[in-house]
Amino acid sequence: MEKDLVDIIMEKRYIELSANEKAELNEYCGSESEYNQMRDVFQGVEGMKFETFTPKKETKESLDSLFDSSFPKVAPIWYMSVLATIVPKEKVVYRQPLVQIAAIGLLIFLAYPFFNSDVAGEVPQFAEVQSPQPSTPKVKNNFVPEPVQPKEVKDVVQSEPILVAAVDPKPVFQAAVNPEHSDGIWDPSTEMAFSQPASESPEMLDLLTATF
Amino acid sequence: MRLVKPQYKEMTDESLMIAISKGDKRAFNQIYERYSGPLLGYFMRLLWRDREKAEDFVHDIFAKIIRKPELFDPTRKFKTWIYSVANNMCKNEYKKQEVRKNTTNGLDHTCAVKDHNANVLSEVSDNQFREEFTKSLEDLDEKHSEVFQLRHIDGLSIKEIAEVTGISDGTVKSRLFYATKYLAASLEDFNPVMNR
Repeated sequence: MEKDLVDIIMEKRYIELSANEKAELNEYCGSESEYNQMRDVFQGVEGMKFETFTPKKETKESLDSLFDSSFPKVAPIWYMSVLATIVPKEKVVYRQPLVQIAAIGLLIFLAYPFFNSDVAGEVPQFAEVQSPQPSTPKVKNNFVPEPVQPKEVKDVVQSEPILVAAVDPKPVFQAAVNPEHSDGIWDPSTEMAFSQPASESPEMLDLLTATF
Repeated sequence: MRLVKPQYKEMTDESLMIAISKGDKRAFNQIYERYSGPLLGYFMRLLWRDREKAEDFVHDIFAKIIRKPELFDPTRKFKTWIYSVANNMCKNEYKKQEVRKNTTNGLDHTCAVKDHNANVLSEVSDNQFREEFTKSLEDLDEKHSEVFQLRHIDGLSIKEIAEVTGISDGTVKSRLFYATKYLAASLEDFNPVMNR
């Protein structure tokens, strides 16, 4: 609030007034005593605590209901326009775009398994048991086998069987099992344990297979 | 889209009114909180301390704000505008009462209420100065009392009072100082400053 004459009177003593202020006030209070009298009244009134009033709750409630009826809560414009397009109230339910789209979606969902499965062109896949083929060919009844010259068949097992001990220049018997090195064969001379997986030496694997 | 909620307590009356015209209820609540009490007091003073009538007038003035917020010109000060509307409502009521007084049994309505006023005030206040001051204010004629009360109770400036009452600044000043001199003379036995 801008300062007016009343504020000036309350804030300043008579001697503190400027020439302009005195001139302005001269019309209403000419003397210093008159000025001081007014100042006392203004200050006294300003210091008074006047009754404060609070309206009844019913007044506010009535105004609230009036406000709600005057400004009904409306949805945003974009929402209203989209809703008006897809669910027009003037159309019957089955002609509303939203219902139609939902119906098409349902049809597609139900029909999808039929179109997606290729029943006609699919090759049936059954479990097939394969019987082991005999190693000797079948002989026809009227077939007289020619005497077969025995071929030199190389021994499957080589004359000199490759043993692990043979492959390894170091004799097996020299190896001993060190309880501290349970894996492999312990060579006390070199103080090393030798171990080799059977898969790395097929000869040994064959030997093992023949044994069992 | 607004990202930050407006701080209604910090908003000016004028911006709150713009928000009300867009249907912002919180803005309305804020305006109601600011002005319902002072307006009720104003109506009480001007309508012979008739609480029920004052309540009705408060309801009516806020109903006007709700129904026709566009009536408020945002270039004007809201406080001045609302008090001028309230002032006009009281003037219309005076006219109504005048007509009623002439057409009914001729009882002085204000006299009856004045007694009631005295009772209410004496109940509320036990301060002798306050009572004397209130009596002196009531003894003052309406136009002087109104200006004085608008300045000191409602806190309007001289310019605002001029706008509300529709009189010139000079007239407001002369009425205000006349009222002050009158009160100073009638409260001569009291030192108002000492009685605060």
